[in-house]
Amino acid sequence: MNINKQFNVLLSMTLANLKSRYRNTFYGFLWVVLNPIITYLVQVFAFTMIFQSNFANYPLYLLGGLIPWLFIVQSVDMCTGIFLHNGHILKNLPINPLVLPLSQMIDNFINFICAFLILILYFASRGKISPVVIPILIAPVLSLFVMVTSLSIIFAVINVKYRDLKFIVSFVFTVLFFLTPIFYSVHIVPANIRMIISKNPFYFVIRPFQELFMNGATITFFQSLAVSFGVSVTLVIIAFICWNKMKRNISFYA
Amino acid sequence: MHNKKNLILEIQDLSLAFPKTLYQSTSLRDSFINVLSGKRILDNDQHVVLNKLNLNIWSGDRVGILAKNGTGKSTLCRCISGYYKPRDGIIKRYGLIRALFESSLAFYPELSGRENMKILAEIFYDYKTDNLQEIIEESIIFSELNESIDAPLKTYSKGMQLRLSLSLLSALSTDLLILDEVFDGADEFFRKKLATRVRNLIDSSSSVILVSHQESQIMEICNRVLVMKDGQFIFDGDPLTAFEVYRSGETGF
Repeated sequence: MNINKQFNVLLSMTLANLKSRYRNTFYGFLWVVLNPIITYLVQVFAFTMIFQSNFANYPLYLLGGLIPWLFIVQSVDMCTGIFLHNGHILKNLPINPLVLPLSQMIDNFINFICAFLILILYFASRGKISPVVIPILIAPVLSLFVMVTSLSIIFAVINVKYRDLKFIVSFVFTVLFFLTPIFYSVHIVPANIRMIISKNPFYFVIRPFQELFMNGATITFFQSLAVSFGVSVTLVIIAFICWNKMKRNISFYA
Repeated sequence: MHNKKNLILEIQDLSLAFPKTLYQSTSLRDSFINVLSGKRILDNDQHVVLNKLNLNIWSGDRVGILAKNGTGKSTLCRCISGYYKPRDGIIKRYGLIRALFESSLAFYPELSGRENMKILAEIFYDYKTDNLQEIIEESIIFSELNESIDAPLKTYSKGMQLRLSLSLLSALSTDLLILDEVFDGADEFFRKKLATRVRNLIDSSSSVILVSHQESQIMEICNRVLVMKDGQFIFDGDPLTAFEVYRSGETGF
């Protein structure tokens, strides 16, 4: 199984994932990209109109947290069971198991970028986001992608041994949504609880986006970016160890 | 065709076992219950599938494998193909190996049969050395799926899915061809057609491993038959004697 061939397969499978999700039409693409945007709009509506919160620039703050969060949750949800779900492929075809989660991740990533970019360009056109900020976004986006890919691989590998992990993960992420400063600011959290909430690794990865949208490329942004890369690099290492320990067993037990 | 015998596959002391913990406790819930109720499963409790197995395959070999269900025939075939990677033992491959297993292998229900075939071809063949486009076109004609080939895979029956994957996977000969009970599942007409194609594939491949429960098939194709029991080969030789050993073993259980 040479690298070139596996890379070629990865590209084809990513393309096939995209195509089958879009049902081969432009409207299918629209449907997939509109999904997170609608979720976002509903939450903006709920907080600014119904709760009438006086959070300054709330739509911008929510943008930095919610869209990356939806990408994290969707990716982990789709990748955790991926080896088991495709066990018959791993057992019967010459394919590197890693191709499966990676093609799923790239697929999700493209959808995430499209939705994110549409919203960012909207805010930029309204003068709410400075255009200078947009190229800087590449750094936190890269860190996010690396973090989520590593996490997805870790969960997918563990799920081969503990088959109910998938259900536990989806439950934990529902809870985590409320424990991560996404729709509220970390400043409104009482100091004693803030200690715990601000240790949340998902918050570390999301924070650079919030900083950048709210305050621009400040020192605080670069500090939060460094922390974000710290988290993603740590997870890459853990994913690598997990993979190396289990790679022989994956197709066997899947 | 192959006058000089070349070694194609060399297996030394291949062992494969899996810990019983894996099928006695495959969920966090079970592990949680086991820990709290003080029930312990020893990690070194192993279920042995292959036990220090040795095998050499030469060009010209048409090897049949006889064994009862659940004795590790398919597991061995997957080890040889490289899909399973056991820790113990050495597998040396001196040629290209292609393996056909029974299941139908298309996997994008929303995409057409043709698109599924394309992905399958890219995984199974080599995009650099094989002409994938030609293989796909030829396989589509062979499968007789006609217009259905452009319909989404989710509209296919099981038999149609099988036609799709088997037509494609049986398109090219190779150095070592592994056939693991591939004839089941298709309708009678297609099975006959497929049998002819696989027969040609066998004739043009340098060596073959055939796993089958049909005596006539093994007698027709194989010039060497292995009998497998308890993760080892208890006989390696001519087909007639092999069936005698196999049957005497059966009564002896």
